[in-house]
Amino acid sequence: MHIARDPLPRRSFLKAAGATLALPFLDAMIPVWARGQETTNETPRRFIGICNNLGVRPEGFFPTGTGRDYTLSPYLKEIADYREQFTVLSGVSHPGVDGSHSSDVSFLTAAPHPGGGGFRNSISLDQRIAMALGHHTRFPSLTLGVNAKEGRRSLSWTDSGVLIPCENSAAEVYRKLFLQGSPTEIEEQMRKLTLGESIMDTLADQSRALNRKLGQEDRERVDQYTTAVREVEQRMIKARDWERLPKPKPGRPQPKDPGGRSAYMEKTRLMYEMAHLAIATDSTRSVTILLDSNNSPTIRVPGAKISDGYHNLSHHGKSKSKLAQLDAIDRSHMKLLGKLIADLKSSNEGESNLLDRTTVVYGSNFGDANKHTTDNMPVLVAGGGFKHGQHLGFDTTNNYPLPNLFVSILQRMGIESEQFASSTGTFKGLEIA
Amino acid sequence: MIAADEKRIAKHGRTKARRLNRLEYENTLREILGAPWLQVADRLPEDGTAHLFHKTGDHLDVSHVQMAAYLGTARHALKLALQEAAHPTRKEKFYAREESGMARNLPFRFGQTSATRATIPLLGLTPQPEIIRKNQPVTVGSSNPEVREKEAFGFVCGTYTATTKYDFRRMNVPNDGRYRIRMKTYSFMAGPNGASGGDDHGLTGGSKKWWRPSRTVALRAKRSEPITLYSVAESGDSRWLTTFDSLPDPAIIEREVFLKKGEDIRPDAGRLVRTRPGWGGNANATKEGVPGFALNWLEVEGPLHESWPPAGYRALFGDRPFEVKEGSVKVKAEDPKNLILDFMRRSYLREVADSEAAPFIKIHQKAVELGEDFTEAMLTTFSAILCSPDFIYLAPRGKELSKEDLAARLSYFLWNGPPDSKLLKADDPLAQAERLLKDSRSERFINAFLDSWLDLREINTDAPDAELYPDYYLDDLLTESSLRETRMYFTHLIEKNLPVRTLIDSDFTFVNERLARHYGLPLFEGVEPRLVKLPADSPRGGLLTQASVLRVTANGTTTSPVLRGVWIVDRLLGIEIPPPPSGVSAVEPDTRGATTIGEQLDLHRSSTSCNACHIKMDPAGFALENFDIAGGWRDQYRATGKGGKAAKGIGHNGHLFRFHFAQPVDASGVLPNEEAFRDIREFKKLLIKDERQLARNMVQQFVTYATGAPVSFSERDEVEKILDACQADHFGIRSLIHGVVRSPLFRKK
Repeated sequence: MHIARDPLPRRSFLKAAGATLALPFLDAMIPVWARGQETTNETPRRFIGICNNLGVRPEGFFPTGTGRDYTLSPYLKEIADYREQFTVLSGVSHPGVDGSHSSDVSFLTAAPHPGGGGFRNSISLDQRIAMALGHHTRFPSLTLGVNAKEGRRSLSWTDSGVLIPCENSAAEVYRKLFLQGSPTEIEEQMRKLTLGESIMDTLADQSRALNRKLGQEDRERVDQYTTAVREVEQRMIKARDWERLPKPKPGRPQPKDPGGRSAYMEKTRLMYEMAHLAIATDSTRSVTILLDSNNSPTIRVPGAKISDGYHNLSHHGKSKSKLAQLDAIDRSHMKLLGKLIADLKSSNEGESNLLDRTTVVYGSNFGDANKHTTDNMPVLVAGGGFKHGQHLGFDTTNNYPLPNLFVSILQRMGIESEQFASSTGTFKGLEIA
Repeated sequence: MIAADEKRIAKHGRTKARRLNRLEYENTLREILGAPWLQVADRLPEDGTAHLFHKTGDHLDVSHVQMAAYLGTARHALKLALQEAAHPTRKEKFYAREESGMARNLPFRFGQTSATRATIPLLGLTPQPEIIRKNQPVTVGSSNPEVREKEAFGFVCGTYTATTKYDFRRMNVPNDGRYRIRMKTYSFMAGPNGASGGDDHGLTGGSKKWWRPSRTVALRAKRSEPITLYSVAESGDSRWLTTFDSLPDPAIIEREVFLKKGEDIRPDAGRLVRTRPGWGGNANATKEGVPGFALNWLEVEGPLHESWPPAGYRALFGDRPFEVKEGSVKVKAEDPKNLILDFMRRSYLREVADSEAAPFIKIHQKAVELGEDFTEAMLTTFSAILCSPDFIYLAPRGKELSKEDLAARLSYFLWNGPPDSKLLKADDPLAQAERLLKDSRSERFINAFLDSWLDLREINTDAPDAELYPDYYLDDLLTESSLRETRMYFTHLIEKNLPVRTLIDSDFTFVNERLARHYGLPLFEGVEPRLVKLPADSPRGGLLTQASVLRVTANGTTTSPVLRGVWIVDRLLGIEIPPPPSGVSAVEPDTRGATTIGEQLDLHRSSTSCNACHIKMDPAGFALENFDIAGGWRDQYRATGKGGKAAKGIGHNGHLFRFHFAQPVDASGVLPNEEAFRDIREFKKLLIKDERQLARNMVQQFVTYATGAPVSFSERDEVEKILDACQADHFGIRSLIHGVVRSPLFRKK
C-alpha cells in the first residue's frame, strides 16, 4: 500500500469530506504525551494492543507442542501464512487479575483484582509508551474501540488510573488523523488553544489557593487537580505546534461507519485499517483497540449464521449449536488479524517494513469465557523486531507472569524500563531479532 | 488499636476532600443552571468505586482526561442553558402515515415478505389493502381532517431495531429541554390466518399460518397493549421515557419528558413478539386473531419554559436583555464583573468577595481579545468557574463540619445534589432532613444508592440466553418492570418508615401485569406498577426474591449459589467474605443437565479451608435455587441437549422452545448456627430473626454513602447508639436515615 506524505493539503478534497473541527481541549481522545523522555533507539517503533473481552475458545486457539516445531491449532491455521511473524503464548496470565468481565480493564495494565471493591487501575502499556514516545507524533496514542461501552470500558488508563474513553467510530478516527481544517478553522483552533491555556493557568492558581486552606491530608487530592490542569495545558501547547503542520494524506477516502452494533465484524475490520493507517502515516506510535464483544448483540459474520447474542454464545454451556457459532466468530477474528499483519508487513518503511517495527499484542483477558476464568490467557505477539515462529508454552496450573512481556516490549522500543506492574523480568524465550 | 484509630480520625478526620462524582456534577449543573432536563453525566469518565459507592475521595481521581471532560461538559451545559432562549415553545404534530420508516413495511419487498413484520394501514378498524398495493395514497393528508384523524398504522410485533421499528423520525427537537408529548394510539386484533410471501403482499395467496396476522381483517381488541416510549439519539442510543396502556378505543396520552437535541421518539409494544430469524409462531396469537397496536399520531410541544426569558438564560444573565442572531442567543451587556460575581455566588453556594472575580474577569478579557464576542466570552468564563476546584471539590475545612458543609453533606446524601437556598439559610441544616426526603429530588438519592448498593445499574449486563430462556430473551418490559419494582419498593419503605425486616420479607410488592405474570400472582391488565398484597404462601416480598436482584446476581445463562450467596451476605447482612484463594478455579457452567450445581459444589464442603467461608455464604445461595436467571420460579433446572421432558411454548422471539427440564431443584440448606430451612420461605423467616444485624448493615451502607468513609472499628459504638435509638420502631428505614444524620459520625469531617 502506498501512503503519500504530501504536505500540501488539497482544499477541494477537504471540502468534499466536510471537515469540521472540535475544540481540541475538549477532545479526550488524545492522552498525555511525553514528558519528553529520550529514547535510546532512533528507529521508530510502534505498538498495537488488541483485546477481545469475550476471548476465544481455548480448544480452538492453543497449539500443541512447543518451541519452533509446534503444530498450528485450528484457529492459528487461519493465519498460517504468517507463522514466522508471530509467537503464541500459553500458560500466561496477569498475577492477581481476577474479576470476571471487569478484567478487560487490566489487560494492558495488569492491575490486580479489577472486580474488587477497592480496585484502582494503573497505567496501561500504551500510555507508558505514549509518555516516552508521544512527542514524536501528532497523537501520542490512539484509544480505539468496537462497540465499547461508553465511558465504562477501555484498554487505556492514565498514570493516575483514569479511564481514557474509546473512539468507536472509524470515520471519526479518520477525520482526526487526516482531515485538515480550513485556514480560518485552523486559526480559530489556535485561538481556542491559546484561550484554553490561559484558563488552565487560572485554574492552577485557584487550586493552589484552595490548597493553602486545607489540611495536609487533603492537599494530595487537590495536588492531583493541579497536575491534571498542567497536563491539559501542556497538551494544548503541543497541539498548537501540530496545528501548524499539515496532516498526512492516506491513500483512501474516509470510511463510512456501518450502523448498529451487530456490524461488529465490519467495524473491527475498519478499526484495524485505521490502526494501520495511523501507524503508516506515523500519526501515532501507540494504539489500543478494545473489541467489546461483551457489549455486542447478535452479530453478523460473513458466511455464518449467528442466531444468538455474542455474550450468550460465550456462556455456551457446551451447547453444540452455540459452539459452532462461536467457532465461526473466532475464525472470523483470526482472519481479520491476519489481514492486519499482512497490511503492516506489506508497508515498507526505509529498509524495513511496518510489521518489523510494530509489536502487535493480540489476546483476551478471559482464558475461558464459559468459565469466566482469567488465567491461561490466549495471547499472540506479532512483529516488532522479535524472533518469532514459536509457541512459548508455560505451566497451565502455575502461570508465567504476562507483565514480563510488557517489559520486553518497552525495552525493544528503546524505552528504559526494568519493571511493569507485577513483572519479574523480561519475557523468557522472546528474543530480539 | 481502637485508640490508634480514634487518634487518626481526630487528626485527619474520617474522610478526605473529594470531587463531585459525575451524577452529583450533573445534578449540581441542573440546579445552578435552572435546567432539570440537563443530561450530561455520560460525558464524564466513569468514577472510581470504593465500598460499593462513588463517594470516596481516594477513589475520585482527577486527571487530564477528567479535566478536559469537565471543560467540555460545562461548556456544553452552559450553551444548552443559554440556547433555551432561542427556542420559544412550539407545537408540532406528526402523523404515523407520513413516517416513511413505518410505511416501509407496507408492501412486501426483497428481504421482507413476512406478514408478522408487515405494517397494516388501518382506518379505525378497517384495513386499507389498496394502500399496500399502492392503488391508493398512503394518507388523505390535510384534504380531509376527519378521515386523517382516524388513519393509523398497525403493528403486531415489537421493536427490534435491525428489522422492525416504528420510530417517529421527523421530529426535530431544537434544544435539550422539557417537552410535552401527546400520542394517539389504540390496540386492535388482526384477523388470523394471514399469509407471508406470494405475489400480492400476502393479501391473497402466499403461505398461510393460523398465527400470522391477516392484513384484510381487523377486529376490536380484547385487551390493552403496554407501550414503552424511548428517546433515540442519532447514534442509536435509546433512553427509557415512560410507559402507558394503549386501549381498544383510540385515546390520547399526555406526558412531560426530557428530550435531547435531535432525539426521536420510539414507541415499543413490549408484549408483542420480537421476531428473530427462524421464528415459527407468535405466543400472543389465538385462533381468533393476532393482537396488535395502532399509531395515529404524535404531537410534540416544547421546549416548555416556566418563565420568559427561560430559567436557563436567567441563571446566566439575569434580567439583561438579549437578541437572537442566526439562531444564537446574544446578551446585551457590557460589564462582565457583576455577571461573573453573581454566577460565582450561585455556583460556590457562598459569599464571594469582589476580589475573587479578578482572575475570571481576566479570562473574559482574554477571550474577547482572541475574538470571541461578549456572550461567547461569558460562556468561556462561566465554564472555567464550573471547572474550578472551589466548584468541583467538597472540601470541609475543620474537623467538625461547619453549617454550610453540613448543608452540603446532607443534600449530597439525600438529593445527590447541591443544597437549595432554604437549606443553606437554615440555622440547623440537619433539622431539614425530613423535608429533603419528602422532596422529589430524593429520587436521585434512591436511584443512585440502589444502583450501587444492589448493582441495579448492571441489570442489562447479561441478557437472558436465547436458547434456555426464550421467554425472557428480548423482553425489555420484564427487565424494566423489575427495575421499577425495586425502586418503588425501597421508596415505599422509606416513605412509610417500615421495619428493616421488610427488606427481607413483606406481604406486598409493586408489580404491573408483566411482573404479576412472572411471579404467578393474580393477573390484571396494565403496565403501571401498583402495590399488591401477596398471597400468604407467596415466596415474593422483600428484596431477595425480586426479579431485579435475582437478575443481577446471575448471568443470562446460569445461576450460581456461591455468587448469589456471597452477594446477599455482603449486601444485605453486611458480612464481608474474602475472595477465594488464587488458583481455585470456578465451577464450569454446564447446561447439558447431567449434574446439579449442588453436586458440583459438594467438593467445597469436603475441604475445611473452603468450608470456613462457604458455610456462611452458600446457604443464602441455595435458598434462592428456586429462582432462575430472571427471578422466575423453577422446580427443575432448564437444560439444552437431549433427554428430560421437553418444554413446550413459544419464546418472545417467536422461536419454539428448545430446552428441556432436567434435575429437580433442592433449595434446602443449613445456616452456620445449624438452623435448617427447606426453602426460601423458611430461609427468610430465619433471616429476619436478627433484625439488629440487618439494621446495622443498613446504617453502615448509609454512613458510607453519606460521608464517603465506611464505619471504622473505633466507631462501632456510634453505630450501636443509632441502633438503640431505632429499636423501638423495629428499625424503620427512615428512622435509620435520620439516625445516621443525627449521629456524630455525620458531623465529622
